[in-house]
Amino acid sequence: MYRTFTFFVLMAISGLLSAQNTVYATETFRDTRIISGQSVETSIQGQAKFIISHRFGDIYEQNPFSLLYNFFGFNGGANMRIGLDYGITNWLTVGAGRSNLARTYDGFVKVKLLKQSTGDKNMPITLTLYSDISVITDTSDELLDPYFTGGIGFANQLLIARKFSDGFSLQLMPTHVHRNLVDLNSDPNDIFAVGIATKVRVAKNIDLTGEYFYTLPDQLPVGYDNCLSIGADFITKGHVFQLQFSNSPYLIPEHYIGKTQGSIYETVNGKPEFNIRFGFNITRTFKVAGRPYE
Amino acid sequence: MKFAFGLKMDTLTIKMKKTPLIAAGMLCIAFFFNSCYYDSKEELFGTTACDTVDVTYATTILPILETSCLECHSEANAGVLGGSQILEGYDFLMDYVVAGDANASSFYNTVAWVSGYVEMPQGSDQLSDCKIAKIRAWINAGALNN
Repeated sequence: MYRTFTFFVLMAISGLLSAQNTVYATETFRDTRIISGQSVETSIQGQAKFIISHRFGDIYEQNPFSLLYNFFGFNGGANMRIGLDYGITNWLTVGAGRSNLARTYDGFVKVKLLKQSTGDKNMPITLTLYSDISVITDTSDELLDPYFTGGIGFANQLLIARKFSDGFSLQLMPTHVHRNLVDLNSDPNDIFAVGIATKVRVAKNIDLTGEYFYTLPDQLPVGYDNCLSIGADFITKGHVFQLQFSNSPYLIPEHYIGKTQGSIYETVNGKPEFNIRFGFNITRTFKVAGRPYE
Repeated sequence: MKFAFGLKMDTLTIKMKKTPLIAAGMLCIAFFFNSCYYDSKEELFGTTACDTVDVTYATTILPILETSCLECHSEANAGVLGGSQILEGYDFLMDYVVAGDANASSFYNTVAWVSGYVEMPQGSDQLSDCKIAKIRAWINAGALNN
């Protein structure tokens, strides 16, 4: 009896103490990816995360019968990225991946600099720095082929997010993209863009997400467009399943900013045209270090 | 903990636990200071002028097919990889070409990624604008077996 009493007293004290301490916002976004882009979240220390991203071909067909024939872009040629992230600490994640479009390898570092919190420490936002390097190894472009560094591109992103409530988060993403080799002298090697992303909870285990990257004016050559995506996160046991629609087949920043062609809806020669691709991300985490699973 | 040459770990000021952090830090620095170029194809390889006049089946179209199409659309592989659509050999290719009219040729429309057609080559970047222009020129000139 005495022991139970002591236990409850200790619990009450610890509860009082923690009330005075800092409360950090968790799950600003459900996963380290929002749709194509990264969220402020980083991997947990010692956890490896295996990510498969997939973007199918164009859904839209002029001939309605082709819709089923190509099964809504399923037969239209897909871009896939297989990646592995690893959390060195709770605030530092490194990762690498390979996309099949243009045979691209990429590696990145993600550093969480600020954590949104209330209480003793009051911080209105979460701030994460994302930086990556990628190299295109496609040999079908004969101009790029003898010139390895031409395929290299970089992206630097500041991810600024705030979780307003359990149901709503907003993220701003000022982005700098550099590509070593562009087509024409008039095309910029450096592109600056601002991305905005959001998460809205609609059901206990379903979140709606949206993402748009606005390239600052006078940077994109004619025929290139901004990347707009909408999606849904399904929280299942053990992983997050993200379904999405986007006008871009690309999955890394230096490609979906600056290489995306065709906006979601446009008119070509007076005829309406849609550029919508279906896609998904599946993530699976593995504990590499730390305590075993219980 | 000892290294192979007997140096004690304690003598190093860097603790073993921090080495992954330092490695990651160096990786970060490598990212930022990695050689960064400001090149354009126009500057390096001259004006990317595209010769669409001297275009023949043997010297222009066949090499494009061999590098970008026949991996899947050869007679041997088409059944499994290429949806049974064979582009190997002039006669098979002409099943997808309307001589003299590129816009009516599915061969042109698929490689030009015309909306409503499957984008070829599947799972790769689009052919270069010059290659597409050459295919167009060859078809519009009558798609001759020359």
